[in-house]
Amino acid sequence: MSCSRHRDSVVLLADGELTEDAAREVRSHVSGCDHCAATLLELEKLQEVLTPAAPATTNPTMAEARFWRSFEADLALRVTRNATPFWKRAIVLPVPAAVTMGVAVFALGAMVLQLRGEVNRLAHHTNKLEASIKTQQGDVVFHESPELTESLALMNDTVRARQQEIRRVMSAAPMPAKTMVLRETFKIPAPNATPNMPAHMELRFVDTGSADFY
Amino acid sequence: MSTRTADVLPLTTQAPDAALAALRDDEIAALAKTDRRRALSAVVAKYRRPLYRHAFHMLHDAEEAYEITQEVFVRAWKETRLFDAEFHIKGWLYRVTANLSLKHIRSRRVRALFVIRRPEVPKEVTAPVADAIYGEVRKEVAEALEELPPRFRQLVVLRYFDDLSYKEIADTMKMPIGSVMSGLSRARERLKKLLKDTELEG
Repeated sequence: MSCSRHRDSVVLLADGELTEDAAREVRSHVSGCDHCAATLLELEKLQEVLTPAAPATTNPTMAEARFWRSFEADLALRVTRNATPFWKRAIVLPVPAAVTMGVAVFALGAMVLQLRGEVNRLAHHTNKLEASIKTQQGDVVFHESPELTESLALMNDTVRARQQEIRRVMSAAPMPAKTMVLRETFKIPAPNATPNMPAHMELRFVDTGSADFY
Repeated sequence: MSTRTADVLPLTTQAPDAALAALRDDEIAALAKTDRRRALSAVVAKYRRPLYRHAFHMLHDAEEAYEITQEVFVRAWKETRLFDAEFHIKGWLYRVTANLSLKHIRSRRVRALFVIRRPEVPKEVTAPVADAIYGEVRKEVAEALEELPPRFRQLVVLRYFDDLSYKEIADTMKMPIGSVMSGLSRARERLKKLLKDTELEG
């Protein structure tokens, strides 16, 4: 009837987990209970099958002693290697790992190069775009500038005066047709000079009997 | 190289191993206050065979057990708290060994995919300790152990071969005592079934 209460205790008894008093109590129960006695017998048999005799006499044979000596020498070597900082250690890398690393480095380098090319191309394109935008802005300013109108007017005056002078000289001393063509270059200050525009503009004047700008 | 080895850790001392191995854990910890190297030598001398035994029962492979035992002691050498007052040296060593063995046995199937089997070369070095340990158990028991799931195998090894108490097993495996008991009883059931044909009948 108290068998269910003792079932775990029998296991504990077999495993030597009980105090002496408790062990005595359980043993007295076992002596009167066939079921628990069978359980205990089974457990003891298992114990005996697993660890048959008392542990073998700890009388190390020569071979064992030699084994443990080499074990300790090996251990000392490993510990030494552990104590050696990694930069003083001989590099020991298994071949597959080395190959993988090499491939990885190569792939990474190729990727970086390709990306850099892409970036450069983009930067170049951007520069061109910016430059064209600036030029367009410069043109607008150029045409609307009052200063330019003024300097063009000044130019016209200068050119006209020069033309008259040339005509006067030429009427005084007629020359062959070829040499009658005179070219003159005038420099006028450009309004709103930008980095993309020169500070001076050049106007070329060719005398063919009338004034032409080009 | 040999001189440097001696500088770092004279594990191969001329002092009798038996004297070192006989020290209790608290005596070793006391020894560590004056001579840490000697204390480590004592730890190795005392626990090398039990830990090797555990790893061997878990794996049934002399070389793998050897590697695991080496790894455990290398970790012990690195462990700064090893000789602290509250530190449980035995429990820690068994925990590391048991976990490494369990990890190793579980990764076997995966490793089998990658390891190229070298042609068998007759070994120069025999494994006397492994042979001795293997000789201690019956062949049927060894085969039954291999059939057990790793967790159960571990519990059986800790309980029967390492002769640890429930509390020590619970401390080692960081699990409640109740789980140890239930796990052990289930492991026993499996083991009984496996051994049924051979021994337990008679």
